[in-house]
Amino acid sequence: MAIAPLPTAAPLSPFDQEWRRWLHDGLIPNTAFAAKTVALQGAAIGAAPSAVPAGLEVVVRPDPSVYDGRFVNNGWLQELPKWLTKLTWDNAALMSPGTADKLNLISGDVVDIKHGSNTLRIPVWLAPGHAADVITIHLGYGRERAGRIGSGIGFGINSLRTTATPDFLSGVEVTKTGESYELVSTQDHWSLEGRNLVRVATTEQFQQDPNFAAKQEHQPLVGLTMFEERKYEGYAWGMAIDQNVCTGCNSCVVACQAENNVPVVGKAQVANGREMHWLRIDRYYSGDLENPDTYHQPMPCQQCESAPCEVVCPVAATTHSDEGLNDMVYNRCVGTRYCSNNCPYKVRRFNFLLYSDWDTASFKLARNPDVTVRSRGVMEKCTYCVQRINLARVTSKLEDRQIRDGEVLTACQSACPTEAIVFGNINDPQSAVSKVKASTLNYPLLGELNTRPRTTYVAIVRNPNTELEPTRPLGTEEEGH
Amino acid sequence: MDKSHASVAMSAETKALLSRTPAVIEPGHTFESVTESIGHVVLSKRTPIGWFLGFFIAFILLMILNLTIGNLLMKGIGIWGNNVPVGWAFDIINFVWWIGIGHAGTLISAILLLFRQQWRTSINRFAEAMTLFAVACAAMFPLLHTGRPWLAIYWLFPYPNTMGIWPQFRSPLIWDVFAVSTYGTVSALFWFTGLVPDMATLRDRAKSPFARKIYGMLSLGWRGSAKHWQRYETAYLLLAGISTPLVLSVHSVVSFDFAVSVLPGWHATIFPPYFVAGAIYSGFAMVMTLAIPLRKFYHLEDFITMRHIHNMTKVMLVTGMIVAYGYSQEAFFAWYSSNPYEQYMMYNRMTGPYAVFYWSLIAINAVMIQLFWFRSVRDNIPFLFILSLLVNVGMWLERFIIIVTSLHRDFLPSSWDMYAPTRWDFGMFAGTIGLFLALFFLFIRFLPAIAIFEMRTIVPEAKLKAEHHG
Amino acid sequence: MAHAAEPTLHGLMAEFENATALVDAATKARLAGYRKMDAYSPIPIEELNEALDLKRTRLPLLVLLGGIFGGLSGFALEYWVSVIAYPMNVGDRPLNSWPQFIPVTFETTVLGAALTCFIGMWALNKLPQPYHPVFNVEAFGRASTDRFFLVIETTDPRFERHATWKFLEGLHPVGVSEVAP
Repeated sequence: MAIAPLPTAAPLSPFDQEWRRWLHDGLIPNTAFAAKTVALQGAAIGAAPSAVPAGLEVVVRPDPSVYDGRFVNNGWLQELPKWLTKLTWDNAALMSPGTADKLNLISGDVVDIKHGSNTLRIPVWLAPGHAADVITIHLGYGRERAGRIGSGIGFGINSLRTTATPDFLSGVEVTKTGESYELVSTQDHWSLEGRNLVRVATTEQFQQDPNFAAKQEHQPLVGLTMFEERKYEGYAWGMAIDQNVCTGCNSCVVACQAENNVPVVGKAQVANGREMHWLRIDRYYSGDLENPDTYHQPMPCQQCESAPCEVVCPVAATTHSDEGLNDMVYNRCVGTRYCSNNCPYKVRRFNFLLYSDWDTASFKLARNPDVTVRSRGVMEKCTYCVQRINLARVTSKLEDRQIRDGEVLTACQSACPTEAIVFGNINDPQSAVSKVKASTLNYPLLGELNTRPRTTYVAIVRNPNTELEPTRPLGTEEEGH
Repeated sequence: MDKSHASVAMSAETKALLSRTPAVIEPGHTFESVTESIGHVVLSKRTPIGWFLGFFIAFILLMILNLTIGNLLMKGIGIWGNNVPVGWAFDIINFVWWIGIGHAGTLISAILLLFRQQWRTSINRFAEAMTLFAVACAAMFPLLHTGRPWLAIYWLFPYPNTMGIWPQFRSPLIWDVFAVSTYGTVSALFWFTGLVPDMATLRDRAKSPFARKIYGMLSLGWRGSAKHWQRYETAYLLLAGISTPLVLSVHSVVSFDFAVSVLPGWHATIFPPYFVAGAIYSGFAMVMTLAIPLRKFYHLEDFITMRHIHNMTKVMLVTGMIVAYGYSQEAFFAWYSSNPYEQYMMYNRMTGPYAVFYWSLIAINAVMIQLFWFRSVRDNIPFLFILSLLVNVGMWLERFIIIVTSLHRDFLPSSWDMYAPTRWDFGMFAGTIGLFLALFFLFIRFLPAIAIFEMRTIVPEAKLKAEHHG
Repeated sequence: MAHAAEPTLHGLMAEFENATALVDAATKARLAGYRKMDAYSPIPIEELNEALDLKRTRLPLLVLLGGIFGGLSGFALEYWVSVIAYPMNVGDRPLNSWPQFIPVTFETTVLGAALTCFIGMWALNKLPQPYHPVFNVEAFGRASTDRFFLVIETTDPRFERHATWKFLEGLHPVGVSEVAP
């Protein structure tokens, strides 16, 4: 087959040559402004208003999921539980519990927010740690012509904003209307209930006792099992999640949804606790609700070595692989949901209805062809991105070598901006995950249940400025025994 | 206790006069009168209008069952209120409730036989029928509560297949499959065995040739031969002996569905005896609910006497107290264990969002049953009817509390959520009540509700005279 | 001594009004040397077993064997499936999880015993048997309600039509009938 010759480049004009040089250098030479002498005008600072205006203030912020509204027609982002509030499919007027109390409001109460001659009717949502007397409302919602999914969702702040005050609206009036609106959040309980799920210490406490994480819960002695612990030869996959750097940004949640064909279920189903996210980020507050400590704890399947879910499945639809993964066999699952009941971490998701769209042909292009699309009546959960592990194993076998550390990146791991999630082979003492797990800060969640999870967490060490934060962090009060 | 084999030449009349205990059967009956009273309900061409009314209501509910099952199969479990974390709700509550109710029938048929309790005679037939129908209602739930019942129906059983795969025998759900199917099978065999001599009676007394043929086939050609009776009685005793450990094991296995899990509030060793006692308690309440109208509308008060009413009430009192003990132990161990998850579970039951149901069930199962101590209550039939219905409400609430409160708030507070049933949950439950009643109405119309040949054995005519013990 | 059984007769039937009469009759018949006979009653009568000198049934032994077979089969199935046929790592439990295999084993034991009992009893009784000569006697219709019958069959060596008839009448029955074959 003859290949057409490459077109010969036309000779560059002098302007083009210079243009290319300017693009390369990033500036046009000899066009800088002349230097100027300046002096600070101290009077201007004194002229700034010193008094806080009376009444409440509305702060307009880009939404953590739909940004300025460009993403409202994206089902993944609508269903994504927003950072901190865990709201889905809506925006709300966020205010602190103290402010809400003053106004005699609870979450879901609909209020009229009046600024000048503009009014917005919007429900309220209590956000511990929010600044007092301030209301945050996110952009982007209330669009009427935004596509099949995005139209008519949420409450549009643009009816309150003016060009003079696009970002801050001072002196708003909030009136209770007496109505209620169902706001759907994926996590209603923010309290740790005195359970040492997130282990925290100050640097001082850590220096005094590096093993504080292990001591904060009653843990089974190593080897306290009735049976011989199985030895895993070959690869043994494990994960460590560093709670010190997790910001709760939700990148991992969306990455997991994209990678694993996780369906979107809609507001009504999320209201009934049926959201399908394989990975969720639990958000806990501790301390004074007006100024709490906030913790984010990503919860994928813990891939327990003594998985309570495996034992109770009547059809052996969930068993353990010889690399330590808790396998979920979709085509065998008959959907008794016993495994979900027996999972103490509640990481398993059930297809109560046919959530995946089987009919729309274009979704075949959107979905990951390496991952099954689940039907109704079938249980699903995080698999440590087993399709990626398998791909790496095949590749490495073809190349006649072992899988290198860092060759398999789970979707959540690769999306995390702070590298909070570390995944790898725990049989390799040099792997990144083994090093993290070797730290004394590493602990298994609910370890006392003897589930022996392969996913462990790194306890938080905080270095608070005692002048700003006189309260002691969680975990140092109760010594577990 | 009455002395069924005493060779005392005292009539039932005199005995009853001497003691305050009512007779097991009213005096004055002969083989013929017993056979006629029970047989004519079945053999007469006239069906009382009340029967049609009752059957009609049951039939409507049965059609509702059809509708709910159809919708369930078409759309999925999502039509119910179940969610994550509350993966099981009405489906398993109803399953345990129905299976529990069934246990009284087997206890009456089998265990009371082994203990030679004569008062079982007039109630064992319809109680065992109640068991069979209750098991039929129960068995639908483990199948239909699955996400893919068209697969569950055969994948839960061990059979050789091209995949080479088998059920996973460590799971309590498989234990349930074996226990409930064995229970249904053995109850059916036991019940049918007891029916055969009565089929012979009906065959010989039926006027219509069609009825004679049907009863004739069902009677297997029974002729009352002494040789047959000998093996028959042996088999009957053996089946009773086999059914006794069976009935104790079945509800224990059902309780393992919970006890084998890790959840606080489920993972408790008291569950097997506590569940079995609860089953007998609710089962006897259902027997009472059925016996009271049955004896009234079909004039069987001579056979189902105050003795039966009293004894059933006493059994309910005892088993209800065992259940109340179970509640107290759950609370005690939650406190004594110092396990924060257990303690919170108990605290949540008592003060949380479902607390009204918890206290209702305590009010019924621990407090209200104390009324049974009083003779005046045991003699008051309409009141006992209402109480027996309430007992079953209380036992339903118990399963609700056990299942829903333990699931809705477990280890990680982030997964805590509420549960609310939908109309399809209620519809299916009402539908199974319809199935039960429809089957029961058919039973009382076409089969003898009381074991005729066994009633004959307790009539004075049955006793051998002189030195024979009888 | 055996003599030719009469082909037109199955036996002779005596009808009694109560159990005592039947037991007496059966005892007397046995003392008179009759062996091939049967008694029919609407209720089981324990004393008849003695009067007719019935052998103890082997049903209990069969049921025991059935139960043992059921139990062993149940456990064998579980063991074979979990250890040999398709062993899997389920929650890191040992393959031979015998404590967890006990409930199913128990149930299969019960099932084996119960099925053996049911099938065994009816089979040993040779039922279903829709036809039997005694049904030819009209009075026999009350055998399932309140009458008791003793039948001496023609196959009995001491059977002789007149003598046996006389003997039966001597027991003071309600009536004596011929039983057509």
